[in-house]
Amino acid sequence: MVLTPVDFLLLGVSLAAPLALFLLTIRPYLRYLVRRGLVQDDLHKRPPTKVPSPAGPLIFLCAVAGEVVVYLVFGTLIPIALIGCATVSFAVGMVDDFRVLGAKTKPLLLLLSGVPFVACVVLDPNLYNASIAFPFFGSTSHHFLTYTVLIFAAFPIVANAFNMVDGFNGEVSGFSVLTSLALVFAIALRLAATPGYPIARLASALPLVAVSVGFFLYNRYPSRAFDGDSGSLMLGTLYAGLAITGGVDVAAIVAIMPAVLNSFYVLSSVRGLVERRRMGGRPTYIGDDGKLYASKEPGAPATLARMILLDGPLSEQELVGAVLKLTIVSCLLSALTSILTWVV
Amino acid sequence: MRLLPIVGILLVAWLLMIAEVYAFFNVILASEPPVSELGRLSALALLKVGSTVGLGVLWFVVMQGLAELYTAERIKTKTPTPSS
Repeated sequence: MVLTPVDFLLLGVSLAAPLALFLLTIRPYLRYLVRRGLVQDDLHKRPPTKVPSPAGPLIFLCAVAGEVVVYLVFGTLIPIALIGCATVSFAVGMVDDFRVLGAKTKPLLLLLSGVPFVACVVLDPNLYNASIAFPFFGSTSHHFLTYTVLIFAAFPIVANAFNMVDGFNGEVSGFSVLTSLALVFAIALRLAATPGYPIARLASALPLVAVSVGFFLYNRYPSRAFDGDSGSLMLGTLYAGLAITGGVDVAAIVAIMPAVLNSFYVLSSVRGLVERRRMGGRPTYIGDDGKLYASKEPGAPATLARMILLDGPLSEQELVGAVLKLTIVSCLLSALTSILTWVV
Repeated sequence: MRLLPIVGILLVAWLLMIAEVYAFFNVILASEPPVSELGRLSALALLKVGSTVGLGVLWFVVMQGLAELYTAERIKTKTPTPSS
């Protein structure tokens, strides 16, 4: 499929509108948070600094505004389904930001993110394709029931994976920028290779890129804003929803592999779902030299950051740089997966 | 150099994940009986459930093994502590 100049213009609007809205409103919003006393200690600084939090509500509103633009331009149900699932996870995150939810309650509530999807697929059976495309082998046959069950499972898994890489300045925002770009690449490649593939599926992914880039500018070291659980859970849910509607599930999972492995190692090391404030120890700690060290406590969760620090201490910037380098590797593997699936 | 072993773990996770998802959708789900009849207790239905669990266990064992190998090696030789 060849895109026309009008298509490029519409895609540009889908990207620029939420980004412009975010950049115009973030400063007054952060001042509002400070006035209300909504600040959080940045525990990786000596002494801890106060950072406005949560920026999640603004990230959510700008992403929704972007999806509304896509809906008005393309008139498809895809952005409505995405707004629905993002709203559920944002609401769960907001409750968690102000009243801490239990370790098992949060994923259970996040299962509800799948409800708007299933409701929308009743109205539009083409909302998602219940098969998975593989490199070399092509697409599987349709398995609507199994695929729909997996959709319900995907939202809490991906949302929590994003939430669990939200530990250091610029970590989750940089991760979201890189992985959303890999997602856009996968969808664009599928659009180019598949006749009749709707351009709205690509346009729907651009607001996620926009809010991730905008937020990264304020979340990178030294952070001027934290997203809170409302932001990270919503970013993860939107990512999962876009992977499903875009039909690029395998490439999308590959891109977020560092976060998936991080969640897996944390859950296996603390033996199940444990609220992070109740874990046996912290995975990392700050030395007197201001650098981050890997904890040697037996009960400390085995995070990706801790694994990296086992090789020696790093500054916070260096550590986040290492995590993002691993994310770049996984995004390149995702791009390779996309090329092997849609081009070769 | 620091990241190379973790990049290796990522590569193994990538290959294993693609192989396992393919096996799940193209071999387990595609074989008889169809998933809608899994409620009917049969040897094949049990085999399908068992194979699915087996895929999960395989991923768990390989990933856990690689992480433990990496962690044990690093704790034994490299992890420093702050001097003060």
